[in-house]
Amino acid sequence: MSRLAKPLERADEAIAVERFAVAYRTEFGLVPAVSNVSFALKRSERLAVVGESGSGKTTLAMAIAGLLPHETAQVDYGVARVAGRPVDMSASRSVIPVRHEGVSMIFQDAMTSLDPVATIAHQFRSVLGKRGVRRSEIRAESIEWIEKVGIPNPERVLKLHPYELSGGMRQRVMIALAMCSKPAVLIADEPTSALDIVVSRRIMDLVLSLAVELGTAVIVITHDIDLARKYTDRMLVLYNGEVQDLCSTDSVTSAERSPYTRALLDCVPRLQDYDKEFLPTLARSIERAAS
Amino acid sequence: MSWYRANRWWVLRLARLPLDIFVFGTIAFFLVRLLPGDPVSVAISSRSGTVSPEAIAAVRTQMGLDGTVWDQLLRFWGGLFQGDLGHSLVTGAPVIDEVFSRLPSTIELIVLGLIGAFVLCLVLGFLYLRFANRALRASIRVYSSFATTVPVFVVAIFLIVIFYVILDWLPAPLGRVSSGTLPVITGFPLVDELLTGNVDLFGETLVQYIMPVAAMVLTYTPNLLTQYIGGLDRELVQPTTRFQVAAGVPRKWIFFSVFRRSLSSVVVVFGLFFGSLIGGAVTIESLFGFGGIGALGVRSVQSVDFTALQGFLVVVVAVCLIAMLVVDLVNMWLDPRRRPGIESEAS
Repeated sequence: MSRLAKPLERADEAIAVERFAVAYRTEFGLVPAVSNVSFALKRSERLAVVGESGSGKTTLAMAIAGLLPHETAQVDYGVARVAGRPVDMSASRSVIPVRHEGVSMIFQDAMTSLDPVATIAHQFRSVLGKRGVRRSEIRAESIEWIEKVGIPNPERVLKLHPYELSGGMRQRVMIALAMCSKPAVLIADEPTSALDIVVSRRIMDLVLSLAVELGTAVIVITHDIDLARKYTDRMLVLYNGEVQDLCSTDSVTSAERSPYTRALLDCVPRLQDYDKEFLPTLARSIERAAS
Repeated sequence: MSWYRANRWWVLRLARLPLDIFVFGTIAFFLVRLLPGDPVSVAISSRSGTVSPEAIAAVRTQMGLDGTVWDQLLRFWGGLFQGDLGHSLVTGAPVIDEVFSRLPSTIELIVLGLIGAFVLCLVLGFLYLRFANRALRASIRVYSSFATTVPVFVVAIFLIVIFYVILDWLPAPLGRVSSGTLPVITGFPLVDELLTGNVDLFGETLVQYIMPVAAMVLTYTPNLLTQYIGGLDRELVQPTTRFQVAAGVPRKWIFFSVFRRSLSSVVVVFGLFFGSLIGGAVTIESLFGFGGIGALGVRSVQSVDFTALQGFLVVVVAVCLIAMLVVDLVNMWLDPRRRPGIESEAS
């Protein structure tokens, strides 16, 4: 089912991977988790990666971000480029994984993602601080970023620790930290699953407006098909680590999609179905296929 | 007022310190008197001939053991408030002098041994994170599994056999200096030797310290290291570390952050060992012919020296309490969520 990435103007390209595959090292040998994924994203383009639990969505995201250690995983690929430059995406051999330049990632739980023992100011300094940049400049830039993600009273927030912030504020701080290095690609792994529907829509709006401003391509890993259809340009449907469909979000409902994609979309509950006794389910989900 | 509210916790903790010492001192007073044997008969047994009851009573009064236990307790309390722990029943010297002439040298040895162990633990922890080499990481983990399995004196005896008996690289384990006496200003042997300008003695003591300190470092590093490696393994897979990588935090910062987040249990174990070694260093001290506070405890048990023993216990407890206070303060600095009055969500 592979679809090779269409050739793009390099200057406009945020990320391109071809024949991307991840396998986990287990006691039974290599177990493939993701195989033969190819896609390319232009700057500011948004891709949703959807699929059931266990379909390899998060594995794909972690491998692209460089977070899989060599000890547990093996990554193979034909082509890997970020912002037009080739990137070595094979699994990191160091104990602390090495980031792929230009790829940032945000996670579901901001409470555990932010450093619990450091102040917000310290965490901004750790990302923005470079040789030769003055502390006052870093501080001014941090304040600018906190305002940009819509948190009032930034001077006060800088002095606080993550546990002193509300859940929504932590999520915003995490987004600011991930975006302030101006990445070419932002991967959002279930960014809103822990939030209620009102806050989650606001957070998505925030992420996407920042992405447009910085020209960052966004890859959203999600279970929430409605959210994917509302916020993304293209959709990549994974089943058992294999691409079922890679299409524009508008055309995902068309009849030419794979049977799996159609079955998955059927599983999205609709309000008018409230009186049905049985909602549609997948005949052969990954969990059942594995057992 | 707001200063008090913000700092109430440690102010109260400092204020409670003397109270804790007082309560423990009282318990020690009674426990010591459960020892079998009567110090008065021990003292008299050395005299020849018959001893009149008047003479026994005189000795009893002189030792401060006359009257009921409650009279003695009141006198003990009275002394405690004035910082007076009474006189040793055996030597007649003030217990406070006996204790403080020995305590600094023990503390010096423990500090050297435990700081050495702490530094080695940090170095091995750094190697554990820095290098992905399987063999290196596995051997560090194996070394850490030696925690609490080998007693310090066994390691010390091995060192003596190898480096003194067989190789003869190091001098005989017979005290801090080969001849003469140590100068006394602060009571810390190395410090005093430097203060009096005795560079020769200083070097001699340093050489004598090699084996006991090495034994302590080798023995206590695994105890700290298991805690540290456990923390490192735990923090490494935390979303915090992943997010730091994914957000583009430089590796130096990530290392520092993981180290800091893993350190608190190491500090606790450090404090526990520091406290237990105040009395427990006696095994290694006697092996190397060093004087120390532990020897006072052993001597006073052997000679049924009530006052020296209870004074020894009070001082050991005071040092332990202060060590644990420092541990808590260090941990609050390492992890602000531990600071008093902070209600944190599940971390």
